[in-house]
Amino acid sequence: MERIKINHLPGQTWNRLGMNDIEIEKYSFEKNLEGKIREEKEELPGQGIAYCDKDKQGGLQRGTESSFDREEKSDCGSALGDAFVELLEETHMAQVVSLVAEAGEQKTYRMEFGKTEGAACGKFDLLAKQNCEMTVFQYFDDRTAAEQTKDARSGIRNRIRAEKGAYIKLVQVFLGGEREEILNDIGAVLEENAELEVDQIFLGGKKTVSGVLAQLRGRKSSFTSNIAYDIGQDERLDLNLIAKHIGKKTEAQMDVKGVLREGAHKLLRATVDFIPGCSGSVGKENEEVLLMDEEVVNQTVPLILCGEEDVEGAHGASIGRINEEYLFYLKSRGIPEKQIYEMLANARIETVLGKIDDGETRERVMAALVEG
Amino acid sequence: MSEFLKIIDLTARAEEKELLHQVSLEIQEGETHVLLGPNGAGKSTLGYTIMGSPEYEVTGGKIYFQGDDITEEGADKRAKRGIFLSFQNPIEIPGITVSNFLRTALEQLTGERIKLFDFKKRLKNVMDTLQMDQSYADRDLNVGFSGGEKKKAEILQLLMLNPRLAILDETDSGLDVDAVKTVSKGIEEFQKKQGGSLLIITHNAKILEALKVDKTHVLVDGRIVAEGGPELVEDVGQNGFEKYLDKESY
Repeated sequence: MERIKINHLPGQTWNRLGMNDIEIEKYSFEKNLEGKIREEKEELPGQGIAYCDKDKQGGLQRGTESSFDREEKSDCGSALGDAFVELLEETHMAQVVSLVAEAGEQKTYRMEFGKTEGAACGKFDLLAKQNCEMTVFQYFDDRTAAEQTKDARSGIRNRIRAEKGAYIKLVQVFLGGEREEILNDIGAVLEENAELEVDQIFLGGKKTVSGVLAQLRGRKSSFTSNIAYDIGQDERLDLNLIAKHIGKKTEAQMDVKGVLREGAHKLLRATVDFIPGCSGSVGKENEEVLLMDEEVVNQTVPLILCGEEDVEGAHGASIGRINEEYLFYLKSRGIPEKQIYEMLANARIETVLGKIDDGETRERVMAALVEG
Repeated sequence: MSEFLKIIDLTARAEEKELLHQVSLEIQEGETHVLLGPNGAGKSTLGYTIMGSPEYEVTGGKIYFQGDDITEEGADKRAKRGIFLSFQNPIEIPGITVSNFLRTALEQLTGERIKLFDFKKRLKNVMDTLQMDQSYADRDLNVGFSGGEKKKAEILQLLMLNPRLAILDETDSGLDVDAVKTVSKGIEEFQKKQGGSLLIITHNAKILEALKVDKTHVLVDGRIVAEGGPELVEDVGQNGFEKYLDKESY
């Protein structure tokens, strides 16, 4: 089978390090992801996402037509890259769920997806008009996957436009199962004073490739990314975060916290890209990794591309096992070492849950953690 | 009274440097002892060594607790026996709230599942005693706490975990007058209501005012050089440590 490379590092490094991108099999998506969507607490008419044409209700438009025009669609960009976009575009039946928040509105949507056989895709266009607030929760729970879904693959793409003064919060929770592969792509364009917050939790998952490209075009636009993961048993997580500072005084903060166990492999590419003219911009990335096992592979490429002088870029990392002082403090309260590691592993997820600040999301994630 | 904590000829070192030299000390159940000494005398080292810190290597002597030799035991096992150390510089634990941390610790110590309602009720009562805002229960342990708040959080843990022996390592340092009063009240509560034993490492006689002190030890250069009753605290308060500096082991 033909193979393609996706999730590229914006500035390439030595190929022999194997960190520039990730190679996957090229395949076709056969169907749309099966799931449900709710606006606020009310479930929308019809069971699940019907993907029916020209159905517009409560700011939700479902069908083959996006609320974005052709130019706007390509404008959002992709963190996973052209090869992935082409893969989705080749799937003629792939339909789009468009969520729109009109100017000044406050909208909250919840989507949940369970088992889907074969290769399925989901395309979502999120449009937040001027000064509106839009919150979108996407839950991908693969733990219930049936035996026959072992070779199942998912391709997910969110295209986001935040107009002047708009705020978009996208929360994604991936509860891994036997699924072969999850490809998750987010591309966003932000206008003046617009804010984008992307919070993601990855618990398990055989192979997950995920990326966020935030294009901070408008003056004082900002991007925040909070990611927590806990992977083990030879699972693989490939992350690519790109904050592209184009407008003046733009801000980006990317925080990634995670736990690696039992032969897990994680690669994080985190790029702050200062484009000429983005003076006064600040871009920061920070990573905390807890290694629970000596067999894990933990790779990180922090990258700051600097085309502008008057900017502030920073990256920091804390990687390894828990230091003795910390361990002693917790042990002195009667907590054994194994329990401490578990507690601190959950604390990383808890930190991001705190930022998401949503009861339903917390319940889902905590239930998954309890089930282990 | 039964033999409670007994330390015999304890010698300990850190990074090749010997910090405690044949220290012997005995605390009976329900007693309150005070450990005094100039800076760098080894007071905290003794507290940490009793708790089982891996930072210090015991090279000689024994520590017995309730008749059992615990010299080689890990800190978590000692805690389960009922030993508690209040840290001078408590560690910040991001992602774990005060409430969750205490419930986990209590469940580990007792080996029983704690009912949430009972736990919250008790936590509220103790926080009221320490004049702590209830919102602290939902904050990450020690994260962003001021020095005084951290010390209060240590006393909160002491009262919630209810150990048999509490070692307080300069719990009063860096506290303002009001905070010293609140912390003292917490310690008094532990001593009188819970009947716990105490080893108090301090420079400040203020914290001892409301407590009945049974014995005082003076540690200089890793050696116990003087022992006495509560009058020794007053003596050191007035005259300092000068007369003890060149003394041989007690």
